[in-house]
Amino acid sequence: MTHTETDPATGPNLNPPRNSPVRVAGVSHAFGSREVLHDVTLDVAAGQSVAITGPSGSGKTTLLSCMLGLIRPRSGTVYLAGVEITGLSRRLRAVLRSTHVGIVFQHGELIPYLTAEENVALPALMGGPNPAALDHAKTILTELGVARTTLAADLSGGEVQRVALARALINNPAIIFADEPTGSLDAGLRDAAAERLFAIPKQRRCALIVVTHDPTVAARADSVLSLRDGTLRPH
Amino acid sequence: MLVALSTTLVVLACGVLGVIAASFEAQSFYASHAAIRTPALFPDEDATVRARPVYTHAGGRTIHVIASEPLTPAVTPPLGLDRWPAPGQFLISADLEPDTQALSARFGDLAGVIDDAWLPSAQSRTVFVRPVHALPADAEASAFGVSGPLQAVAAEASGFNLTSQIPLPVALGGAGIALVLPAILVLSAVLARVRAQRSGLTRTLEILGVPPGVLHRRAIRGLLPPLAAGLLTAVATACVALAVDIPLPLADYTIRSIDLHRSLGLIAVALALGGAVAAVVLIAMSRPRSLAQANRPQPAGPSRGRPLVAAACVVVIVGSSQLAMDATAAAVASGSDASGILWLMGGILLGVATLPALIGELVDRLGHLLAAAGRRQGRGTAILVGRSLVASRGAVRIATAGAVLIVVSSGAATWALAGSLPALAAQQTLNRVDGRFVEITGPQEDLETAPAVLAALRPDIAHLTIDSVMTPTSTDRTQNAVSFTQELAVYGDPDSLEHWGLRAGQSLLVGELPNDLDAAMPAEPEVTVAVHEGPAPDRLPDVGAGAAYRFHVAFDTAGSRVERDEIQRALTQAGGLDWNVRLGGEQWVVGANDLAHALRWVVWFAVLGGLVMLLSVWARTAADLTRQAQTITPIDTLFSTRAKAPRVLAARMLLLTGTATIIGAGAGGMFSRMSSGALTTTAGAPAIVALVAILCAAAMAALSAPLVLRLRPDKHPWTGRRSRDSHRD
Repeated sequence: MTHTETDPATGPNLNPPRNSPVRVAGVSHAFGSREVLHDVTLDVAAGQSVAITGPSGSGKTTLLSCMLGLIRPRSGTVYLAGVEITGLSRRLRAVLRSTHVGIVFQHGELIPYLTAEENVALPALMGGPNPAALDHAKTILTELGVARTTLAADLSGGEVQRVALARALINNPAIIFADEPTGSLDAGLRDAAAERLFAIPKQRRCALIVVTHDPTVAARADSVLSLRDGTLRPH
Repeated sequence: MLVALSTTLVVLACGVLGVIAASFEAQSFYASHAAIRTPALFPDEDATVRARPVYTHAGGRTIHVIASEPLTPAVTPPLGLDRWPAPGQFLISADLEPDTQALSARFGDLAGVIDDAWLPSAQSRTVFVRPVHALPADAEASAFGVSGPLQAVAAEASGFNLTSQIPLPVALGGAGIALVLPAILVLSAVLARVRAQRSGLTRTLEILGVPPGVLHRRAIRGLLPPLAAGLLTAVATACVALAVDIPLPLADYTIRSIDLHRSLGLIAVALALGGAVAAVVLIAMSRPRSLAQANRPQPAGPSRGRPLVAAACVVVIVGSSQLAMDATAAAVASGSDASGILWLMGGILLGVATLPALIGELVDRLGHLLAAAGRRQGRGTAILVGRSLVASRGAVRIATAGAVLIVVSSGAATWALAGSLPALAAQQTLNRVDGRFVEITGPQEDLETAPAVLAALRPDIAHLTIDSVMTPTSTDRTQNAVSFTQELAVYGDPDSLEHWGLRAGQSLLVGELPNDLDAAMPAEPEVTVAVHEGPAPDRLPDVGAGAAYRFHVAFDTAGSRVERDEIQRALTQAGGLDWNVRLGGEQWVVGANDLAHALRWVVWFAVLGGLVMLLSVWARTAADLTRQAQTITPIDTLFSTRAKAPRVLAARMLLLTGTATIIGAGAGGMFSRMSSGALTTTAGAPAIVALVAILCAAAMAALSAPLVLRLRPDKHPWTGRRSRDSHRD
């Protein structure tokens, strides 16, 4: 597995190879005196899916935040799409997310007054003008079977998750993070959403990391890891 | 805390209505004790005094003088005096103590200060004088304090009234618009924020089966302690005012405890009204939102009938302002009607009531346009700004509150400046004349004695005599207005005419008069002045419904400045109290200052109301920005290379401020376009409205800027769980 290191002279290469989207090495983090993550190591290859489970308060969201570059861990390194991000500026971390990362939240976190199409296109529009983004969003939504002009506030729970998934795909990401993606769905919708989500790594050659409580969802992943007492172990 | 403070604000704003009513009551008390009955109207009543009102001035303002003497020693003196002053003595209200020297020149020796309790206000500028020369027989009257129909008040005095032509209901209405309405808006904004903060809990409880009525009662119970605290604070403030006089700095007015004690009932009613209004607003604003409303965004898009209300708003503003303009012109012409003000206030109230629909319609269309443009160009900021404008009622509320602020402030500022601008212009005239002449006005019914009285002046003081004759030319019965033509005539001996650069037989326009003599002329610059050599005729021409009067311009033949007090003293000793002396040009300053003083309440209400309205705008802006930030920031945090949320919120505020400025300035401009010969300064209304609009817009921007600037992405959780409810506003 190769990694593209940050060159102090030229800055990071933000178009790295896609064969190692995520690598976490020896990451530890604490809030005050409470250690939440302890020497966590994780390596996810392109086309692979990983489920991270663990009880509430075990540090799943903190680990996700570290991998997204939203929290700078106290120690350890995080490679996202081959770029070591802990030393990057906030702007460069955002650039990396907007170009290589897709995110699915538990409740979709759509902006209620935008249409489904606009919500999907938004990550591609946040970096600057992008006239093609809405057309791309339209294509993805058509594939997922969601009405594109409906306001997000008027979507059903299942539609919200599909729009959230479409939004995660808009930038053709190297890696998708999903935080409890089926947590707010009933059993029928949950299975359909999980099936759609876990099919993506194979279809798009990207990595998928899913944080979930649900063992039936976790079971669909290529590997399942458990986070307990700040340590990541095989399930 | 905020609920308590805004409740106090509402109750005290209503308490101001009580203070206004108490001030009018004090004037009524004064009027009933300063009332006399003249033999012309009550021939069967025995005269006990001679009395007449005299108007003079000092310090650039009019002074109300009651000149009186008893016909028999047993007559009770007025104004709470225990005895009549001796002839040549006078008493003053306390506010005139700085002007004692100037008053002594005319009225004699100061005998004391009138007890404030007998005067209509602490700034009544009242003099009671017993003249040295006996008053004429036609000044005989029944004694003071004879109340009843057709009584004459010995002299008017300045209290809380705007002008003597504005009745109590109009004054109360104006205060209601300028103070109570903004205070209610502040309370509403604060309660809306409280409701928004509790909406998640309320929604959950209702979903769990708690009836909305129970939730409403629980919300009311929760708000009762701050309501009670606010009421108690207001009542405590009122109690302070009952205990001591409170001078209002810069307003030249004192809230007198004596007035409040006399009108305890009115004060209690006003405070109770404030409490009731606060309670009603609190009950209305604590009603839980319906679940449907709480679950989905509130589209501000056009609902059925909304464009009609928006169109009605335009019609109301244009129509009522036109009626106000016409009524004001007629009122100025007839000199007694306040209907213009009523139309103005009614129009502003209706305009304010319908403004939300008009602004909602505009904001909605603007949002759609922006979103469409953003979609075409693939710009996320434009889409977010446009869609958030369409979907948020908060946007409409901010723009509406801003527009109302501009309408009320610019209307009030125009009316206030209509008074203060002439004062500035008149002061310039006074400075230009610089005391080179004085104007002398004697009793008009006794013109024949004028030469003998004027002869009492020292020899190096000469004078011109000026007649102003206004002849009626036409009468418009439907408008109750009479048109006049004015002519002026100057009479003087050859030396006096030569001193001023005039020649007998000349016919000049007022604007062409040499050596600043135009400053003495009570006429427009285009009025003709005929110059005559020799003494003026004994009588003025009979002009029927017109007006004719005579005055004199006295000057030092050596060209030195003249001493007004010296001339006043000489004329009073020779001719009596009725001889009035003013510095050249001073009459314009006095008139303008009196008008500016009368309109000072408009200024104060505009300033106070504007500040209170700004609080309301700020409260709504803060709530709106918080909600919008909660919605946008999670996505912004994750994907924006440069934080876009502040840019989106700033652009949103800019558009709302712009909409408020355009609509507010447009409506304010319509309501401020009064014009007539008597309100010539309102020709500058567009500039005043534009200035107020710019100031208000700058204030709104300045208030919202810190909220936008302190927005940092990492202050908001990227998981954005709170954003699920963030669209509720």
